[in-house]
Amino acid sequence: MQDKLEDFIKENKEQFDTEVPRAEVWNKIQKGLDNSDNTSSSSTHWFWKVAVAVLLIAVAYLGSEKYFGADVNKESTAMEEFKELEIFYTQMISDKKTKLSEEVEAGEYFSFLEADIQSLDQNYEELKTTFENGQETPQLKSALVHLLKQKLYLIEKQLEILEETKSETSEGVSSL
Amino acid sequence: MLGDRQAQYQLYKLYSKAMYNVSFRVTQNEQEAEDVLQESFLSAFKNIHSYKGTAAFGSWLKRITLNNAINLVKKRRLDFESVEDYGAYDERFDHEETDDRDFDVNQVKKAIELLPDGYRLVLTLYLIEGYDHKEIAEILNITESTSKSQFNRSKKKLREILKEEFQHAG
Repeated sequence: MQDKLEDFIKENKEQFDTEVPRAEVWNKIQKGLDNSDNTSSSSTHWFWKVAVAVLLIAVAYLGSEKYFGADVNKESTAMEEFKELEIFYTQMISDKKTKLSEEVEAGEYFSFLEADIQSLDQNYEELKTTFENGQETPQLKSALVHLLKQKLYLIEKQLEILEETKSETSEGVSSL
Repeated sequence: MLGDRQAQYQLYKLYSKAMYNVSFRVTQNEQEAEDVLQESFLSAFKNIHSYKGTAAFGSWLKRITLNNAINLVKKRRLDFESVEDYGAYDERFDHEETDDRDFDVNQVKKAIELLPDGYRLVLTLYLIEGYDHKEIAEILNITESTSKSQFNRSKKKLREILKEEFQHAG
């Protein structure tokens, strides 16, 4: 069926593209891409940075054990403080891990995180054994608490990344 | 990284005007159209790995832009249900229109802008963006027959607007 109006629009459709976007749009896109590049590169390397830092700290403390004389007066206090802090951080870690398990069933970065946590746990158990077997120093207590904090940090960071990924996928591109 | 940015800028230069117009035809608002343009290019560049190469890059980008623009307008004001509430289109009244006048791009463009959201969208998707009714049905989540009937109604409305607004012109 011939339709003059329909044919006119179809034949001249390029001429309907008269609007021009402002130059600022590209600047905003570029800024968005720069932020994205920084985020993605930091998200792939931070695991290793944290793991290496923790390992260095653990080795430094283990290696320096012989230089720290056990102060008898401070031993019981350090042990009590440690027990309190251990309960506190273990509870927080347990809560965050439950939240993380709810967010992710299985995934490569999750197993990557598990590997890092296992490494931290191993260091932690070694230090804890030393601490409980006659080396109840404030320095070792701090090292143990530091490891618990690192574990908590790893889980929290993973939760942040998951939330970012979730908000990105909800932009609708995945449905295309 | 610098090479990536240069390639992205080349793609932006090539498609930004067309995508901005696609977005503007849906939103009818400069700021919203720019927001959609920015969001769509960012999404496309970040998700370039999901571009399977089965369609032209421009077509893929156009679908991203259209989806973003439609989602934005849907959130604010567009209600496709209200467009469908007019009842089933009676094909018996769908007779061939005889146009005894020549058209002018600017007048037609202004008349299209005066169409209600739903009408404008179906009409421009079909006549300017080049989608068929099956594709429009998929994009707007309506049936193919609704797309066809809305298109016929929108053409009728467009003629009325042209007659009312520009009867003394050209």
